[in-house]
Amino acid sequence: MKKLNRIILIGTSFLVLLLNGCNQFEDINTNPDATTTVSASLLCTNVVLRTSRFGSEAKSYISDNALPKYVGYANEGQMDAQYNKIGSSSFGGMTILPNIEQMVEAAKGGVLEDSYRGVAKFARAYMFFRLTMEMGDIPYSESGLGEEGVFRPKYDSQEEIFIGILNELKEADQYFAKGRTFTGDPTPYNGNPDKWRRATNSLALKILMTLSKKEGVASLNVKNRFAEIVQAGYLLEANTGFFGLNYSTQNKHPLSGTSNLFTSRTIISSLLMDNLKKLNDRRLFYYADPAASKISAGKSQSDTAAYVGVDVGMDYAEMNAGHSASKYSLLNKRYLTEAACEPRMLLTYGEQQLILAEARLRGWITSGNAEDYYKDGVKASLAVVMATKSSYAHGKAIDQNYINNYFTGEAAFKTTMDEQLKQIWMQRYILSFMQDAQYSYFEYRRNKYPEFPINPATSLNENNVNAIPMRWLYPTSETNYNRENLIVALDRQYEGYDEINKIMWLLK
Amino acid sequence: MERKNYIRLLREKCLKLCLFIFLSLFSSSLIAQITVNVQNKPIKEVLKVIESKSEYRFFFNEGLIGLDKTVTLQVNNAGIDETMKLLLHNSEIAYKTEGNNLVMLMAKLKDNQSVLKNISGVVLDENGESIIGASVLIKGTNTGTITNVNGQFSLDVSEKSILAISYVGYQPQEVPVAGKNSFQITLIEDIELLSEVVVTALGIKREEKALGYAVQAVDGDALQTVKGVDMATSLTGKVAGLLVKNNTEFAQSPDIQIRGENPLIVIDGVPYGNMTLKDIPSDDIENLSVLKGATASALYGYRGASGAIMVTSKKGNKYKGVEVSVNSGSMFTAGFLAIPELQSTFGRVVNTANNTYSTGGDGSWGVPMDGREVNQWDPVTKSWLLMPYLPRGKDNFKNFLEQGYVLNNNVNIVQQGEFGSFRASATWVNNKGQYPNSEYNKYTYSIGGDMKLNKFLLSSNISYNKQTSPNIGFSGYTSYDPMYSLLVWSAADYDVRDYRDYWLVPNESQNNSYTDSSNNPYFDRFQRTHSINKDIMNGSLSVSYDFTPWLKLSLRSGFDTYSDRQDIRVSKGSLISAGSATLIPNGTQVWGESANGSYNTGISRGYSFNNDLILSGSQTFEKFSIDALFGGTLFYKQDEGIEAKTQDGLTIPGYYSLNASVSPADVSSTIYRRQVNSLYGRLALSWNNLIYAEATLRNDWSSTLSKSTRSYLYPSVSGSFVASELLPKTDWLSLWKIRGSWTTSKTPAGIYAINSVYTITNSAWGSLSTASYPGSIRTSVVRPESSETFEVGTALNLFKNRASLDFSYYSKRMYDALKWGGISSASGFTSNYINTMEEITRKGVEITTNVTPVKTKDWQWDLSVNWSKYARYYTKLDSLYSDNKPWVKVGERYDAYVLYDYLRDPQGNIIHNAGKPLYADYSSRFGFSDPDWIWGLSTSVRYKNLLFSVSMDGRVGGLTQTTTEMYMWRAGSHPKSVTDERFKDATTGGNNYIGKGVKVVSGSATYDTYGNITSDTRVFAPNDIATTYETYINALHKGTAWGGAASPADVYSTTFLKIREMSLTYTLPKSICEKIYTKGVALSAVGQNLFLWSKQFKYSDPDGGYENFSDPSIRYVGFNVKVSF
Repeated sequence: MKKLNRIILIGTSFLVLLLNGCNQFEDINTNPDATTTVSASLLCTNVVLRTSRFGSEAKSYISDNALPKYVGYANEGQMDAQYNKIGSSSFGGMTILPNIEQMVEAAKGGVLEDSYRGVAKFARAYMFFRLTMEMGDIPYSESGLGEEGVFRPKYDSQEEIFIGILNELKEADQYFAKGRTFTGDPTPYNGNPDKWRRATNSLALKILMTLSKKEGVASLNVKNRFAEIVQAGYLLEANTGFFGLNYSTQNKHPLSGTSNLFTSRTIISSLLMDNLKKLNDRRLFYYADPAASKISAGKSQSDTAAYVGVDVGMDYAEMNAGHSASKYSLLNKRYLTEAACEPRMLLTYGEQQLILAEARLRGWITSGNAEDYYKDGVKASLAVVMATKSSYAHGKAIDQNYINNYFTGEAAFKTTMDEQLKQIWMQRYILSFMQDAQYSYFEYRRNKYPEFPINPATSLNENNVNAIPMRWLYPTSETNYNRENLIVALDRQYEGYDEINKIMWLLK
Repeated sequence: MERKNYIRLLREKCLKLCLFIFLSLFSSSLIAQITVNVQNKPIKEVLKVIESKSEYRFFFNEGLIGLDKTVTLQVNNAGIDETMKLLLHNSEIAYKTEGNNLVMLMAKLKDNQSVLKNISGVVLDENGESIIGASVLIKGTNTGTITNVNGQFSLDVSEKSILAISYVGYQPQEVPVAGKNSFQITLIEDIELLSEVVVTALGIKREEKALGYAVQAVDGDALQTVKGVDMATSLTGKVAGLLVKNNTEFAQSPDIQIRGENPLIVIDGVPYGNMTLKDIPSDDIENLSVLKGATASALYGYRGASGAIMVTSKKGNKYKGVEVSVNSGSMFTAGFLAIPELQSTFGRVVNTANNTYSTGGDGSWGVPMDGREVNQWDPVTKSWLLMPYLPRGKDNFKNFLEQGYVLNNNVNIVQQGEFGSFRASATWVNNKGQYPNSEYNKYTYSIGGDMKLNKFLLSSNISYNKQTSPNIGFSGYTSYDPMYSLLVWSAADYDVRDYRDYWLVPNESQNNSYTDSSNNPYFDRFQRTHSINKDIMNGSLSVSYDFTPWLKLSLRSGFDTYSDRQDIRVSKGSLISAGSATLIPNGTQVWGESANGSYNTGISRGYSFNNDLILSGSQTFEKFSIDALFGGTLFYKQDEGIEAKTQDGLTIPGYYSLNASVSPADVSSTIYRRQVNSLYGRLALSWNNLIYAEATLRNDWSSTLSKSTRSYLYPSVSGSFVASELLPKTDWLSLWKIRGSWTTSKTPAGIYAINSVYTITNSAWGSLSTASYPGSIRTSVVRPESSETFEVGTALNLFKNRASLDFSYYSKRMYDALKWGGISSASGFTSNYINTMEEITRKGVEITTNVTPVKTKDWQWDLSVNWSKYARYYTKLDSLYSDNKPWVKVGERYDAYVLYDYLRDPQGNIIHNAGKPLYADYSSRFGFSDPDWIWGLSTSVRYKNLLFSVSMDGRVGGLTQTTTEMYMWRAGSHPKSVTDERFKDATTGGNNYIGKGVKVVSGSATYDTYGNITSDTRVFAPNDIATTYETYINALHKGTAWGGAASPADVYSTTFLKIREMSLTYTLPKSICEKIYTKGVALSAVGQNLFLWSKQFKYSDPDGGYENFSDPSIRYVGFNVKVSF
């Protein structure tokens, strides 16, 4: 009996010990290195970075520049983008939505609420804009509602999405108008709501211009919206600075510090090169290095004749042979060696002025004159390049005097509207080199200018070798997780077939 | 020499010295003279005094009459005989010495037992072979002897005596002397006794025939002759259903799977949280018991849900006394089973403008190395020179590799006493890898013992293990394996041996011709290093107390702890970074900085403890017996780590410290904790050796689940029916049993998996940090994931154990699986953490058979073969979370190997565009990734004292990507890439290769969202568009090591056959052993990883299960010496 008591005693104490242990379970399963509450400021930095930072590695950066025919890429396998092959895109960008939501939630009731609401609207508009530009119809009205149980959002039509985006930018403008200087802004605007407001309106103008083919669609009201924004006057000014990010030794340019393997294979296209030469544009010397064979043949590095671009539609073997013979100009070394060779600029005063020039020509606005806008835009763009290290300019640095005398010959504003538009587009094309290269592809879809070289013999766009593809495929994961809605969208737009040469509503 | 290096060397030297002292201490002579002085003490006490002052050990029956007699003994430096005679001269005790230091005591034959006579005899088995070491006793006394090597004995007996003869595994016999002078006794093998006893969950020993589930035992001896770096390698192919994937990478542990899942490792009953088979020296293993299914390990809860490997370490000895054993194995590399090769016809690209070869790692797509003059880097003068372009580096890879070896030495000592035993063991494994500057050392010290005091049984052991390496290197493409720069992205146009002097400017830049891309291979091994220094300690204490003969309480407490420091140093001037290596568990990938140099360090530590308290009882009522236990377990595990890295380079080249960081060093830390409390019970019943039944019930409380779901209960039942008991006794059938079992098991969520927390990134941009909301939804309360296993089997023992067969069939239904269920990213999230409705069932079959075709006195041939297969099938789909793909259907296999196939015309020809093969836009199933079946065979032939053993194993089926060969193709270095077209491309230029297949002349096809063709108007014609060979090959072999699907051309079957181990052992005869004062000596010639045949892999070894720049597969041969004193 005594023994039995002892057993019971030991047993019970063990049981007590066991069950007591459960009280600490919450503590044990709480990660002290993670947090469940954060400030709006920390979330804001994330949201703005996801909006403005280049999110991938060096080779994608080059690939992005190959699609709009800025560069070719030799000796490491054909680059799909250079030869007109596009794959599928991703809705990964939409995972910014819960972050935006939480940022607003955290800011609620505080004095900075309006500013963060402005950032929220801006970031949403920017993300949806880029995705619909890539694919066509996408989920918009039902997106970002995963925590409410909407796992399979329906796709909205591109028209509805654009209306939504433009309205959100309008709201952003109003929020920033009431906003105060906020924290957590990684851009050079440093939380200044006035500058953000100007960037917001500049973005709206840029988006509206991409809708030029839809200027007659009543629901969009493109022309009036454009005019209203210009009328209100809160646009980027020469001294506002760009919307984007400054690189530094800590936050390097995507190409800097990488293996020279990437950059030493990146060749400047003849499309870009020849137009720069035609314009007598010194940005040539900042964008490219002279062809080594021309230098060894005695040409000076400050001589444009030492610079040779490649026809990026050229047979790949031929291009490789030329590259191995040092026939072509490679990408300027500053992109490899300088951590902060140039900032990342998504919205600039220069580009905005060029957009205004086009709008003036189209009659969307009546204030100002097109030539002034054009010159203003080009000058500002040249000044941006002038601000980078002149030691890489091969003895042909841009200075104010050069800028002032730029508008001669081909650069002088032409006389017919058709030619003027082309001049404007070409200037936008040049300023986007190694910047927002994807946008230059969007512009090509709209304007078919500058004319991209197409070589049916080398084109990898197998369903239409005579054309540049028009869109990205929908994310492959959608066929897994949202097939029914995807099929509705495909049937509505593309005869049920997800293909890269199909034309989205915007371009029709 | 750097101070740090000096200290490290000193420390290693100390360890080696200790080992040496340990070895020499115990190998010295143990025989000594006796000096004793005792007054009026019982003989029993005096014997203890002698034992304490000499190496002699006494064996006697406690009941021996006369032990309590008091005596006085004074001897000085006396021999054993003198001492014993003085001690026993007036007593009724006789003695006899055995071996060097054993003394047996027995009763003197009494005078009244009539006249003694000498008899002799021989003990034989049923085959007429003599039995060595059989015990022959005079019944009722302690007097007796054992048979000699010829099975003979002789003894002084009285006429009325009865001889009692016994031997393990045979039925005992009694023979009256009754007037005879010589005897021939034949012992009958005891089939019942041979029924194997195996260790099951919680250390419960059970007869194999009583089990309702599959368990297979492996004797420790099987692992102690061919000793590699990791004991698990020797397990390969030995157990049905156990798949060991032996990676060829340096110092990398094999991946062990039972029925496709990673099992729990249990050492002496303790399921440690941090111990792996790598941390246990093979010489410390008594045996292994592989519990194959969840039923077998049901009592281990979720940790045993995938089966368990139960390791029983060596403790005491069979005989009282001291034994010292030394087991030394040495193996050296002797050639390769598989090694990548490089074509040596074409060099790297030569720039035609300046006639200089490329400084970028472009592979070898250049001109033929035909002796033409090309401007090249001369590593000797360290300058550019015009030299003939020749294949100097034809054998670069082999020339770069060094002689490797594995030294595996163990010395251990065991003392078995009356009330317990003690064992100490030291092991040193030294592995020199095949690359320069690769060495790995593993030291293990362990001590353990047990004690028996009345009703108390105590056993305890503790083991310390240290593993160090100055550079374990980097493996895999994304970590920039040495093959990256040496084999793939370089050409055979330089001789690597000229590059041993790897500095151009010390600590700044390399003597290297690939200045844009790849490191000098020697620089890479010495100036881009990953060192490890890991300590692991584990100990356990197990106490049990018998309240009554049928009721016992036991407490088993195990604790392990580890600490590990790993450093990665990348010198300034390195052209590649550290890549995707990690330094702490759950750590971030290093990458590091190449050009400026970087230093990363990670310090991790952790511990786990596992405490069991178990009350167990058993009772037998005639033919019915009952066995029950009730217990509880408390398991806690904690892992923590701190990792830090320099940023933006090192202030002083060659100064590797966080203090050298140019920008403030980046630091982060992790901590992971888990506790599981459990209560469980087990009830086992048996009736008449015929029917056995067992049931268990366990309830867990897990810290990783929310309050409402953290407590969960799960049962198991199993039974065995010994059918042979009901059949008439025959000569050929000794045992036939049928078994069956059913169990459910539950696995809780991972640590922190249910927590929805922000990720903070410090200094994400300038000084600003970011917070990101989780990309996964974790709003629902999740339950533990579950599985239900059903297993049946049968075992047959035939022809008196000369043949046996075991068959199992199992089916494991996995449901409620915790899954990051994929959802459309348009929801704002990429996944939802849920219990999926999808069910997957694994079905498998295992067969083991053992045969002894020949068994005579001199000859014995044993053969053991096992075969197993399994496959996983969808048995239910989740309408929301299951993938919506054609191959995801109920009844289809789960392990689909999916890729983007080439587009093909209706005849199956590859469709080309612009001369290159086209890939489909929709993925498709190409095959399956699990092997179709695996097998193992081991056989041994013994002739007298010679034993020859060989084991081989293999896998059939299962697809994996060959990263090595894919890059060999893409870099132009594949030996098969030397073609005429390529020669034309390189010499005359233009496009010369026309891919075999078709092209589209007109029309087009459209597809639905599954990739099915919905309309097709295409007209095909043979492809006639030429590309360069390089372009074509690059398009054909499209995959990368960075993710994404492989090209069909690079997906290989892993089918292979391997001769895993071979050994020839000579055991010295007892007579010679005695002369050289040893108990046993065995000399072996051994080999490991001896031969490989594989269906598709030619340049690398598919044994690892996946292939990503696998190091060359090395053949090891050597010798092993085992001596015991």
